[in-house]
Amino acid sequence: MSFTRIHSIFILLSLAALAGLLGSCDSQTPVERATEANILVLGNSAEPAALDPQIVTGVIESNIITALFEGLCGQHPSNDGKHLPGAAASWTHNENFTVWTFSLQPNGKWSDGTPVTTADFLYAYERILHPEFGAKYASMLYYIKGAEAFNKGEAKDFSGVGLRAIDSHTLEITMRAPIPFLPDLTKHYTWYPVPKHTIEKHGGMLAKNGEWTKAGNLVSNGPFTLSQWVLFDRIECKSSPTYWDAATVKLSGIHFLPISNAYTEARMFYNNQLHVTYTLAPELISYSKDKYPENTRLETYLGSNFLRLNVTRPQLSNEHLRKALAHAVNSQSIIDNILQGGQEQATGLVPNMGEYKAAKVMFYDPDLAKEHLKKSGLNPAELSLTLLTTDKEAAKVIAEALQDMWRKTLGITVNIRQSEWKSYQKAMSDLDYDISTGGWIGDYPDPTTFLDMWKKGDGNNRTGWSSEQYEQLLGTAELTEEPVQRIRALEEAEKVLLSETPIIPLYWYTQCYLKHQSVKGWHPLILNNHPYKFISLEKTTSSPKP
Amino acid sequence: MASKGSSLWHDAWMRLRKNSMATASLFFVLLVIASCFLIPFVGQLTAPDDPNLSETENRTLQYNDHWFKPPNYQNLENKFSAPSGSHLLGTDQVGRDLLARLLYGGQISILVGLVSTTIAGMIGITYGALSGYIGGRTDSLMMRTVDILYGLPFLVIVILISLLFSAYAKEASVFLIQDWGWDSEFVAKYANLVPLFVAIGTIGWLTMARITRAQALSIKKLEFIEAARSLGLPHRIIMLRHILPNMLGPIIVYATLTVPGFILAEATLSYLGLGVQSPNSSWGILLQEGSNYMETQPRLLIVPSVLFSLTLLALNFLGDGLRDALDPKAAKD
Amino acid sequence: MLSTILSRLGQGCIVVFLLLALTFVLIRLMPGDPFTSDKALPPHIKEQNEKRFKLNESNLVQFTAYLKTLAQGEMGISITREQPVTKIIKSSFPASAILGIAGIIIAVCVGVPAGILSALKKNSLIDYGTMILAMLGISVPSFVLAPVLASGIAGNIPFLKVAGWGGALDWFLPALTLGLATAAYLARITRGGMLDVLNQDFIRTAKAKGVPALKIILKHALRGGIIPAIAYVGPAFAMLITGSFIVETIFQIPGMGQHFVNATKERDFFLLQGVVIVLGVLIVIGNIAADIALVAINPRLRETS
Repeated sequence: MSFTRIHSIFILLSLAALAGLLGSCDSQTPVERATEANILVLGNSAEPAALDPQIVTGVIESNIITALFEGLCGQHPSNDGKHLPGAAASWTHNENFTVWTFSLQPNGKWSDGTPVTTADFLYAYERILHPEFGAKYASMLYYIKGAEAFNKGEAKDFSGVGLRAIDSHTLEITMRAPIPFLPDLTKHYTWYPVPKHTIEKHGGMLAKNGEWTKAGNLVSNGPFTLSQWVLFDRIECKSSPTYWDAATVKLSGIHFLPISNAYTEARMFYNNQLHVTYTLAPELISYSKDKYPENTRLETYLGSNFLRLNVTRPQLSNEHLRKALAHAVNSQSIIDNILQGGQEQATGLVPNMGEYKAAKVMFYDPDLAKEHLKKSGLNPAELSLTLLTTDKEAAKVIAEALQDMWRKTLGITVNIRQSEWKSYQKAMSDLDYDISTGGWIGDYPDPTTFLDMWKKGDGNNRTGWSSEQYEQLLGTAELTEEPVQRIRALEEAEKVLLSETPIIPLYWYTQCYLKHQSVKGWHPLILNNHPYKFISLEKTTSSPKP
Repeated sequence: MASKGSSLWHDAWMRLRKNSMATASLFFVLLVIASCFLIPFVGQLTAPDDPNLSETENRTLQYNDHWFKPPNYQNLENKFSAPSGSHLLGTDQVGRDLLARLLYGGQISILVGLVSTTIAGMIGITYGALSGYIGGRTDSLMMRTVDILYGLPFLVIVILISLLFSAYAKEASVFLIQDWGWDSEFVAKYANLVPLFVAIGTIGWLTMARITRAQALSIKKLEFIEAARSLGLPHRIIMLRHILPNMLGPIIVYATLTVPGFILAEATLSYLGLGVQSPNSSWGILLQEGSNYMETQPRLLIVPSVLFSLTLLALNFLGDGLRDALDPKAAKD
Repeated sequence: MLSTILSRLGQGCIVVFLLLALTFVLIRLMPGDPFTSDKALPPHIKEQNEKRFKLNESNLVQFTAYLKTLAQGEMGISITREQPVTKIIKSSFPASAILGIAGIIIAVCVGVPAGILSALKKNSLIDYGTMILAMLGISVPSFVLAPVLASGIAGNIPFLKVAGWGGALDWFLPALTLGLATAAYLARITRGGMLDVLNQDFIRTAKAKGVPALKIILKHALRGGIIPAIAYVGPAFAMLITGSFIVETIFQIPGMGQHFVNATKERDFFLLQGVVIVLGVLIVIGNIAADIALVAINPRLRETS
């Protein structure tokens, strides 16, 4: 009877199959249907914490917010260095990059038809900097004169912050120092305007109840508006008719799916349910390259992966030991065999960007490593070090490879301590570790996004290392008006940092993902912040088939 | 007493042997345990012997032509190699020998199953036997408590406890290494298991307590216990000498059925990243890693799955067989 | 009967309260806090955020404050999502409930008949075959079964999706994953229960009297033999409809199970407390429902209880 039961299950199954086939006579895949409806379907890793530009802190949220809102300057679809008009039609700056004037789009409108004015920008900036609002990413605006003092409650008056509305469509921003990369900063969501009139209606500036960002309530100034938000399931946006550049927008909508499991996401792509994935697990890269060569994308990403060394630990205060550990790491082998995403071996912390030339300090040299170990005067057999890493799968494999390299080259046994995310972060900020894995994704394409964090007492330093010389060089760079000289000073600073090896750079990130061939106008960008208004969908005859 | 006991066990053994499924399972389980513990023990690399070479170089030399590979020895250039003479089951994503990892992982998984069952068993038996033996109000209070604890969701509590404990496991291991001079590699290997034991053991004892109590209740009414009591034997002696040995049957049966459940719990926790510390393996970790390579390297999933499932299958059949064998009612057939 | 239910309800309240208290303490004992992240927060901002959620108060003050919130029918605000916990639970519950119900139906329809059959044909090939299948169901972890089903079945059948939620048949594979494991347990429990009953004297008597076998099974044996299975199904059902983290992440389902793990990892105190209360309440309901069902099936229990 159990066999007849199985039989009957199969019969049921095949009946269901028949019904399904009859019911949906079109053999279209979900992606083909979406393409026909001109809707882009994206994997987006996780449910966003919020859609309020002044509350959120992550890439996941940024991906959605950049569809809904627009900052002063706009992102070019294919050129990282170029800035297009955004909410501002044009901008000028004084000779030393300390005072910037932005003219807003004359017909810039919120999606309810209200004009976007300087008042909305001032409101947004006061909101994110307000000490009682407690915005987690307020420090992104510290470049404005007086902003830090206001945020920390040292200055009570917002008028002391270097922001001035010359008229309803002209905004003047005074910086704390020469900031030539301000246009890049304004593309970051923390610099986006928010609709003063609807926030006031839903609890006021300091309310954090999420009311104004609900679907139906959310009013935005970007190319798309929020049409549906089903928690943990999907976020749907549709193109905004009131957008000042609505003629450029080609898509009729975007769907963001919070797919947290990378393998599930890849399966959904292979099964034609997604246009673009958020990521591609390292385990699947070579498989995808092989079976879906057209769809597998490995693109340079503004991020750096490195190991932190806790220099307050007696053994690791020994600079030679740190150098020995650094030169014993063969990161090319990690890239080729584990990551497989075409990452670049990091010769320094900051990747090449624009004028900035990456340092060439880090390299694999087992003999040099052994020499340093000898100079350190330490007996490798007596060393007891622990490598702290996260519980993520790739992190584990890399930790195991590092452990093996140090054992083979130096004879040092390093134990691995895998910690879940929060414990890992806590251990690092408490300096309760020996060596830890880590990475940093740039918020804007300027070297300071990687270099500022190594100042003494910075919450992200987490190595116990500091250097007066380093901070002096950063200070010099900040006051340098001439962009190229400024970059040179920053390069010097990085050399100081790396010469003392509180960190071991491993590799520079790539963004690995899968993209359907029907998606057009999607070009590699180092911040992976593809401006959706230039993206279009084209029906293709071919679909990703293994 | 003694002769009665031995004949009970003897009868049970005879009945078990008649049950071919259970006998086969018993041999399979013993075979798996023996291979997991003996092969790595026999096959482990000896100390380096060439004085002119460093320990590492010696190890590399030995590694290349040794029949049993160390489980954590990587060779990135040789990853995903198919089964061959030098790697009987092939290698994994970083070029480690899959067979070695399977056997060493088996040690951990079996250990988790056995130790957790022992912890759960000790708590459950003591609690249940006391409750049943004392009886009356104490009994009903103790059993109500068990009822309440039954309501706690196992996985949620296990996750909370093991997350919490693993945060402090590190401090404990530093203490063991520095103050007690334990071997650091040994501590690193097993430190992360303790939270698992604690979590699984503290929640897993409830059913055992119920079973033991029921047994204790029925046994204490039997004549020979009454006799012992009227002789004035202390309660402790009655419990240990007379009640406990007579409860062993059902306890063993239930314990056998618990082991696979706990091994599975370890696997689930490993999937959530709360299991054994890297680079060591357990069957749960191998399954979890294997499922990542399901599309690309199915061997890495299939091989551990087959061994894992067969072992659990065998343990379950063994448990069922033991129950049938030790259950006097079943003997009537 | 009513007094039994009332006392069970009383016990249930204690279970839920204990569970809540335990969760409340454990999650706060863990290293890190809701605001620990990869980009360190400046101290003044962290302080500001802690104050907003009253996390700077002592645990006791926090606990009483939370109980007060509960008394008002609220569950607080999720710390990581800035949304009311009740809203999150309301939006995640339906998916889990659909899966749980489908899963339990699959489990009962497969597990109970398999168990009965296996007991009737004890030690036959059918028995072994069924039990091997059942135990395979127990022995294959869901994180292996789920992706195998997704790639193996959904990857090859056009109208089944490998993952996702909202389509007409999207519930099928995840419910199958959930149901098979439960079915396996049920089959074993039913087999055990049936064997116990079949060995009892009244069945022998009935057999001797020449009552038809099918009638014996359906009218007499099943009534007693199914008891352990029902006792198991009650709480199992509660566990199933609160969702499974693994099945939800692998099949991309917006259910409740993910919150148990994610809220713990993110130290989202209020969200975790909220979902744990829901789970506790459902388990209590499941147990009481099982009790009622048992009494309904077996009137003799009415007198003893």
